[in-house]
Amino acid sequence: MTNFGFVIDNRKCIGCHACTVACKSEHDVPIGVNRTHVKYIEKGQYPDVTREFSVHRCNHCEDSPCTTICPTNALFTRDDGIVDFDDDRCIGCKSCMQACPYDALYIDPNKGTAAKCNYCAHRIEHSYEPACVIVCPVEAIVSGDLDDENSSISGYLREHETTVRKPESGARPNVYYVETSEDMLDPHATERTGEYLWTDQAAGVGHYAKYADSRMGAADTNSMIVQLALEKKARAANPRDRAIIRDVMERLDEQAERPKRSYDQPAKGVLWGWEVSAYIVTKAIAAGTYLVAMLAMFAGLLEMTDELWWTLVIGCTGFLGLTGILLVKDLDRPERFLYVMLRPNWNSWLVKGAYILGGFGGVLALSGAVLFLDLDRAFLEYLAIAGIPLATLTGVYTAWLFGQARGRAWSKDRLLAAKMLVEMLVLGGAVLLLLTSSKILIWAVAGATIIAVCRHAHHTVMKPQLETLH
Amino acid sequence: MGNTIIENFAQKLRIIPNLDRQHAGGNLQPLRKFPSPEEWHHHTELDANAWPIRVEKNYSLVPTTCFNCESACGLLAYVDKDSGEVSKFEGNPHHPGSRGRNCAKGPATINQIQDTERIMHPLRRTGKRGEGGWEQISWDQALDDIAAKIRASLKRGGVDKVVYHVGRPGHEGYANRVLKAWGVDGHNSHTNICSAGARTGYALWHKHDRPSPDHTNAKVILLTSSHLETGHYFNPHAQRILEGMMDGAKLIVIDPRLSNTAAMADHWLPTWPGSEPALFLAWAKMILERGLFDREFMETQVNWEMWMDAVHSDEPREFERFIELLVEEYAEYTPEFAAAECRIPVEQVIEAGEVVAGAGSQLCTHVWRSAAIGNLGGWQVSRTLHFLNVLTGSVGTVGGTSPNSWSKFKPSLFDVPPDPDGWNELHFPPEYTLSHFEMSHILPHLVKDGRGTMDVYFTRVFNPVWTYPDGFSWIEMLENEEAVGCHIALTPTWNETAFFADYVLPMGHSAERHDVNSYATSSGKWVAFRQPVLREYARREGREVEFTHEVNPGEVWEEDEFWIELSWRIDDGSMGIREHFMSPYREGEKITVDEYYQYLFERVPGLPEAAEAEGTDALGYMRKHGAFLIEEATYEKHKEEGWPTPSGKQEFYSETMIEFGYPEHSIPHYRQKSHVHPENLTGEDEYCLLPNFRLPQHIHSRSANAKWLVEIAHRNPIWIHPKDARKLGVAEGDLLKIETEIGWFVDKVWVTEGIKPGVVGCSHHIGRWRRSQDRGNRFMTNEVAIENLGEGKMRMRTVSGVEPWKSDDPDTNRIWWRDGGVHQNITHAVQPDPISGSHCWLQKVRLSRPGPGEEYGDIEVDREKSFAYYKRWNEWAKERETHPRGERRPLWMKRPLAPRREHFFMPGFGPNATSSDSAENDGSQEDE
Repeated sequence: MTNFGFVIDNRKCIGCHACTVACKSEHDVPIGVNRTHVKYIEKGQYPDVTREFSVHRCNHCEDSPCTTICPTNALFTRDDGIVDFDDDRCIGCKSCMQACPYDALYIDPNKGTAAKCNYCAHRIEHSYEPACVIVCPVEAIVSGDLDDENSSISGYLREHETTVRKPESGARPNVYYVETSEDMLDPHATERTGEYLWTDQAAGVGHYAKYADSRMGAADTNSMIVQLALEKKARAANPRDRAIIRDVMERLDEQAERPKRSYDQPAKGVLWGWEVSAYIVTKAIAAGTYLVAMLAMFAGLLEMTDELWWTLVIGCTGFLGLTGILLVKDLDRPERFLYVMLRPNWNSWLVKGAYILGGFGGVLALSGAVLFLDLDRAFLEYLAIAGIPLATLTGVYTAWLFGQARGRAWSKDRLLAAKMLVEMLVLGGAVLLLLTSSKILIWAVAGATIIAVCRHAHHTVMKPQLETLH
Repeated sequence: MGNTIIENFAQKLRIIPNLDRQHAGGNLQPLRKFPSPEEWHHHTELDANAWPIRVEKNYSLVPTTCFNCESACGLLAYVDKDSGEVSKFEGNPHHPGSRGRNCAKGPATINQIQDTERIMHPLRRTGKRGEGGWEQISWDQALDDIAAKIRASLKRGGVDKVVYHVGRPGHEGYANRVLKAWGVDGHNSHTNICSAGARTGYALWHKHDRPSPDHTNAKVILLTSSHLETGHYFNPHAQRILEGMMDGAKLIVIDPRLSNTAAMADHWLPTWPGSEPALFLAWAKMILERGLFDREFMETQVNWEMWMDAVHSDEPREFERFIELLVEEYAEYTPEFAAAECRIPVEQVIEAGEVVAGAGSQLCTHVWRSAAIGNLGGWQVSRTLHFLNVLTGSVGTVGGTSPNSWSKFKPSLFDVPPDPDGWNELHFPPEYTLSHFEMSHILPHLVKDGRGTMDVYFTRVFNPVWTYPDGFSWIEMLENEEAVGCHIALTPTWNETAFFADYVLPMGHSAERHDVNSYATSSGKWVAFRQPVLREYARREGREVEFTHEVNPGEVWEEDEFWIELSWRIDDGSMGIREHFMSPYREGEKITVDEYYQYLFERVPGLPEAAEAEGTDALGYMRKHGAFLIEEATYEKHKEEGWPTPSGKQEFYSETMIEFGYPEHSIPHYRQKSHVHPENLTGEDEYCLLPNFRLPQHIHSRSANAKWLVEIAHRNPIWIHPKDARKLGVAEGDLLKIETEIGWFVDKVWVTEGIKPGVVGCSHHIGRWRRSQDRGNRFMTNEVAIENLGEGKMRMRTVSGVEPWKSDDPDTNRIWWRDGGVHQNITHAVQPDPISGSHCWLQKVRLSRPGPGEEYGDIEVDREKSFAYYKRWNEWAKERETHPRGERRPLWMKRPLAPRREHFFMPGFGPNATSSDSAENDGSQEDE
């Protein structure tokens, strides 16, 4: 079998960015995004100080999280080990960007679809080395078949000690580095600051999705980069303020001890914004309310009047519909939303989730039909037997989807499913109280609970993204 | 990859489009880098943008050379046969210098060609010069207008009124030949802001004024430069430095700033700027004391006997005694002295010195701009650096350092017009007797001083308003129509100087023009052909092209043809100019550009034979391969050629220096301390500004139209050490006011451990601007407002940073950066070194927090102060002005485009029988 990989020899890399530009030229990569880029960090204290350079890109992982999470098989691993993509299949859901431990993917602003280094697969077809390999002045990038013992890359690997980025990700990456440091490979060993040596970041480069052009020039409030930059400005605004100067000195002291990132590609910012937080809440309300109501009904704690059934079914359907709208809205190719169900990658929880949502939606629709056609109310209880597990999964599956996003800390949160279940039950209970009670106090408590859960959900979505911003 | 049943079903029902693709099973052929040249006209590639759909694209691959820096690396243009346009550039594997590899600037050439704001047609100004109004004219009109002005000037007599001022030449002697045909001493260059310091130091040794290190075979590579990221010749040299290092060579880098090159070094010596000669002399002393010098080389190749005769005539004329006296002579250069001057630990001086001393004949050294162009007396840097090569006998050896001219090819031109009959004192003022070369950076000051004017002034790929120090004085000169009768900017892209032109004539980027290149990138000697690739493509397709502007975008032309046509029109039939533009192949007819290169290539040693073996002629070979290796290796040429100095030896002892009034510099010493020596920085708030370093992805002022390069680098904060930042109370991103001798600018702070305390740094490439009425380069230009505050005071404010705009290229609307940096050069005072004539780039500055109303990007300059400051430095040269035998400059030293010999003498003097040296008339172009 063929298995293409790269060796990046950091003894040789001079940080010239030729690979970055040759790649842009080969693939016509737009401004703001990169398939490969060079990162610089500075370490040590004068005069024992150095600057390190390293080329970062798709690792063509053997257990690639992006191909697992991609709902439509737009990302796939070829027989020769290259992780390639088909932008006609991509719906722009950005889950691959969340799943990649290496921040290697971006949304192409021209197409609204995911893209990354594909090992110049079109060149490989005609037996030419990737564009970055041939341009490199110092031959620091080596390509070739890792499975072929006689290939130069295999020889290189035998003769040199190499490391990979984030081996703990379990993705089994196929980009090997000769002589590099953890400070360089770990994106969180150095701080992403507002400005770098040669570049500014203050405009905040988002993920270059559908809103990219309209966002140009305006402060992107979603972007942590902007916040950092603004904070910095605010702190330095009045230089005569002693407290600020003291703060500056303290920061300088702190910085002196740590490696400093002096060049990197623009940050992609927060990929999943309020739409995703809101979708978690709307579906938790839809599923939670139904679930609590049904459980309470079977437990004999709640008497389901027709009025309550109607409210429940219409309300849950409404919130579930809202969930769907939010999901589609978050796509960068919303017109392709059906691909999730019609081009399914069964490994992806996005697909499973879509079918779960569909199943739960079906239960609600049938329940509505029973009410509308005024059939025997017992049918509603039979439907609830399917509805209870589907509602539970509707509330909880996102935890498993997030778990597949191996580039973020969600995947480390073992309790995420339990938390989502609790969120759903609390929301469901609170909504039910709102529906069944007329006491102001209960309303206030329920309302406060809903707000608290919303905030928690938003926090759940945002925090790992901000923490792991490369 | 198989589809699911659901997908197949949905596709069949046409709910979703059919996306079934034939996916590759993987390629089992061994991978290669380039197609073979036989496939170049019929190359098929799969379209990367259509992928994974297989769309075959057909290309004709045409070799040319890069025009973004001086290295002229090989490029292979991919001409898309469907569109007839260039779609990308890769390297040319047949180029012996670059060997198929490039830096970022190579592939970015496509940005420059596709720049939506490029100048497409000849333009003539409307309104006053500098106001910013332009009208499109035809090439015919432009040629007729300009020819008439030149004709009128030539007929008035005088040889110094028509001037060609070149930034990046990129050719070999072409324009010089044209100027000679016109009979003018009108060549001006940018050498004095670039390599003049280093050239002078090298020239004093052996007339060859540049080094060519053989890094591949070195044991020790000693760089007073940053050749792993910039410089002559970055990409070819970086390749070979790394080859040497992988083979065990040690890399020593001397730089007060942690350059990318320094970051790769085994030994980084952050010396105080200008102290380098002290370090090299300390090492020289170590080599001498330890007996590690190459006795044979020293004894036979160096003019030590002259020194003994002149200085120690009472001593026996023996080599052993010479060495003893030399050790005494250099007694002061102890490691402790060097350490104190350089402000580095003495252990480091000794440790690195031992590495150098142990290199033997495999010592590669290099200095290009850096310290040699930075400091008063910077020429001492190259002189003392080369001394190390002389001592170790590593001059011209395998793994050593050769003179660059050994591996530089000098073309034979079809016609050599007579030398100009006169001397241009605006270029070579008499007080700068040893300058290398034209005193180009004080041109506005000389003009202001009443020392001359120009009728017709061509600036060619040259942007002094921005690149040079004291740009406001350039603006003053260019706006003065009495001083500059007509200003013509020949340029591929808009620049700050072109804003002040009468004519802006668009000339091709790489791939849109003809040139011949040959540079000392390695131990071999090669020649390369820069050709307009669409013209060559047309030829391959059997289409006739008369002028290159017919195939280039818009009406973009090239200088080669422009000069022929212009020269033809200048001559009204009575001036004898046309006779120098006659075809060597067709009697009585005007030469074509093809004939020019045919003649030249037919005379490249070995090329006609190589061409014949491929069944073509010399021009055909170069059109096909783009480059030719003339000699594999050019070591030890002195064994046949000797050394072209008055003594015929390596001149350790320079009689020239004594004769021309600098006896204290008769041998390599550290007699001139820098203007930024700590002794000269007296105030607590005074620092040394290091403003002359370059970045690997930019080239002076010609890459602002390359979006991929600008995206990588677009701002130039002040590098400052945390200690200094603490002292000034600033942190990263804060503003700092930097006061020079003549003005100030406000920049942001970048706090870094990678700079020597007491020194602050600012990159040379960034801070481009345009006024609201100007156009071009919006990827990288701030919009500025210039205000004349009166009494010589000029103010520049940043109105807005870089901003996106809508164009045919969607990327222009995606510009995510706003910070376009600050134009620092315009606040620099001119500081002409009295010996080398070099501008001394380093600036003594005062640092403070900006006052109220002083904002990021603000600039102020006092032109009166600037003129007074120039006078001060100019006085130093005048005080020492000496003309032995009436010679304006040493007859044996180079002068590009030299006039007739009698003009090398001051009025009242002339060549006489005792002076047997012939004036140096170096027909070839100097690559600056």
